[in-house]
Amino acid sequence: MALKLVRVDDRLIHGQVVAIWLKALGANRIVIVDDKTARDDFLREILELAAPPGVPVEVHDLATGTERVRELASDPQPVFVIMRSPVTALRMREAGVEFPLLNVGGIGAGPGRKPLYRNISASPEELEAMRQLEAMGTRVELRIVESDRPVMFASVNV
Amino acid sequence: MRGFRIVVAAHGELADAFVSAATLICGVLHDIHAVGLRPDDSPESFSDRLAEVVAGDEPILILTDLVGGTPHNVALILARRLPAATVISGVNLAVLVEAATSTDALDAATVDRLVALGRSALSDSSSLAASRGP
Repeated sequence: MALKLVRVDDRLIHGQVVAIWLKALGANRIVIVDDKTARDDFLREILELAAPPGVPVEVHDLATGTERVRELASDPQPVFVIMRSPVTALRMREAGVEFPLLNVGGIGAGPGRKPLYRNISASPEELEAMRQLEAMGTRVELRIVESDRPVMFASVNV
Repeated sequence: MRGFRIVVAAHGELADAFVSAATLICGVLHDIHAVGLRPDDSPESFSDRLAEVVAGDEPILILTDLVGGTPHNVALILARRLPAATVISGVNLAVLVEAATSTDALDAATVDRLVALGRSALSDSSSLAASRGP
């Protein structure tokens, strides 16, 4: 299993990801699955600049990303997969990409979004996606940085 | 008289602290601003605050703390729309003091010099001291 972690974080690559998670996971490649970023050359460039030297960043839309992650799952190199929303994770899971755990590390608040835990909020659609992932056998944890105690989505009253 | 404005964009209290430390060394400084990323910030809310400070056509130097951090990523995105903005990341106090007291134009040579100075300001001082003997 070379998918070291599949994470939901609406900032994609940022300080916590670069300084804490990459090192903790020992991952040497970041794969971002996000339609919006994949369409925007400039955003893609920023994310490539955001990773430390020697850690390549791939940015894919959902369709290409699903195939790429499927391929990387059976490759020995340790990979860190990041997306903005649990809905993306659900689509990948429905397409048959298996991962035992989804880490939810940051989804900002906003209109129509319900606070879940610390800096993590979710829309009704995202809550439903997390429920469905759990039903399909992917555990969903809420954990911002590696040293935090994981809080299981299933244990949070929403 | 410095020919450019300076904004420090960093995580938590670090931006304010950098400016306060530079003031301690240099005395009162003009046209230096701090924008800190708060725990409850989204990239958008941070971007709004930083955009307010960096707006304008004057040359502006944005100093960020961590390559890949939100302040850095947001600064790069904003700087795209600001022809006279330059972003340097991995700021340390030596760089900030040098920039704050600079009278040079904010051109490529100045940026190269600041980056080189910042790199040389990071030193294994214990080893250096040991190699010089007691």
